[in-house]
Amino acid sequence: MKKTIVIYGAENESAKETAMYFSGENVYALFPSGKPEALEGVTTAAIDPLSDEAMVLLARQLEEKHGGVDLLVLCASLHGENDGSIGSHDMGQLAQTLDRNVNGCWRMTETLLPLLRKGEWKRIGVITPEEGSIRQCRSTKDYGWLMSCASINMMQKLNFNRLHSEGFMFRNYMEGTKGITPGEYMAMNFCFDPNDAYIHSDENRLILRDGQLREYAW
Amino acid sequence: MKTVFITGADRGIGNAMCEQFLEHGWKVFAGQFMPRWGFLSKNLERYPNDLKLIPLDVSKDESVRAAAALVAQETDELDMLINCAGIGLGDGCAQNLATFQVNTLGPIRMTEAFLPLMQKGMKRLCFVSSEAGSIALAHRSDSFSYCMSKSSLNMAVKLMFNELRPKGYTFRLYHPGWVNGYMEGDTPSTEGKYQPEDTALVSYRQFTEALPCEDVLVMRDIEGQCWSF
Repeated sequence: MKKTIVIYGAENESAKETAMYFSGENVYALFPSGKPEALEGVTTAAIDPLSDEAMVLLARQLEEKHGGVDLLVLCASLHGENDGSIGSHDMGQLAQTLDRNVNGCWRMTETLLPLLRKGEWKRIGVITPEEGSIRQCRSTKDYGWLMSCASINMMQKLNFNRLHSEGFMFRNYMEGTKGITPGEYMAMNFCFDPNDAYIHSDENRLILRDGQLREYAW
Repeated sequence: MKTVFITGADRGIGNAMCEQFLEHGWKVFAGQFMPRWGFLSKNLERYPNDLKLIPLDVSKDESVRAAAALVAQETDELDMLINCAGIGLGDGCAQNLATFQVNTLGPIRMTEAFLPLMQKGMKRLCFVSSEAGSIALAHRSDSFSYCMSKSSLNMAVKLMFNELRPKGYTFRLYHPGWVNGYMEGDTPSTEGKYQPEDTALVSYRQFTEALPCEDVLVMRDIEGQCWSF
């Protein structure tokens, strides 16, 4: 049976690559910028995650067609304009970038949670850049985007804490390294049955890995 | 005489920090959000010459700009900026954004507005964060808006650190501990481990003393322990 996969923030190249990786499945790539691109074998659409109407409609359509969702992939895909050095910011723009990226991911998760519970995989993935790790970050710009990445990582941790006991699995992929692609990493099955005494250690904690499966600090 | 601006000074930790700095002979500019709370007025009675109350809403650009203009009338050199103002709201899109406006964007707004006054002095930027912002150690399964705002603040401080540390600025990122403060509203919590005065005393030491290494950004708590991001 085909898996149903929803990817939010498909403007990001790794998110697009992930959509293409799953193209034999029921894949939906959503573009919060409002400018969807055509991807072969993938249903693409603009989405306004801050619109109640749009979110209710998305959930209803997915439920009617597929019953549930197996994998939700989240990505902060929107950058602010002129988001450079300290001292030069348009705070309204920063707020807007946070709103679309963070509230977008948050609403997407909350809206699709009932469908994820019905899915076979019960899986939520995040794609993040190396600069999205506070520890790794060397940047001096892109405040809105990078603050969004840190927030989404925290969101993922809180969701891990609340949903892990229900059998949910989490995959956080750091882009930028050749090796295993984000799609491959999201699809990987480690040993995880909440009723089994043996559980793969990656399923017992939230972990950030790159394409070489190296672990990174947050 | 050294000068400091403290946001969120009306009550709780911010107000206790004002007391500490005044006791140690600093000139304190205190960001006042709600005059009705009255603690700052009492501070002013004790330190009429060294305390200046500055109307401030850190979530509003114009308020922050006006505050910087008022301080610039008093001094052309600010040694330290302490970003202490914070709120905790429930979860939801509107609450998330409102919390970001105060806890995350507020410190960026303040830093941007006050940097011109900080070119010559001690050049120290201090941020009151929280264990709630530590992704590695988060144990909660709710309080999304507060936790995300503090992780986001930690990232913002790292971005500022990357740019401003090479220009001679030093940074303090502080987790005040579980304090009986006013995060939940107009009545102070009674379940905390520390009083505002306890954490203000420690923060005064951490904020004013030099570190052996200023080239690494760390979040340190009231007991001196470092927290992973």
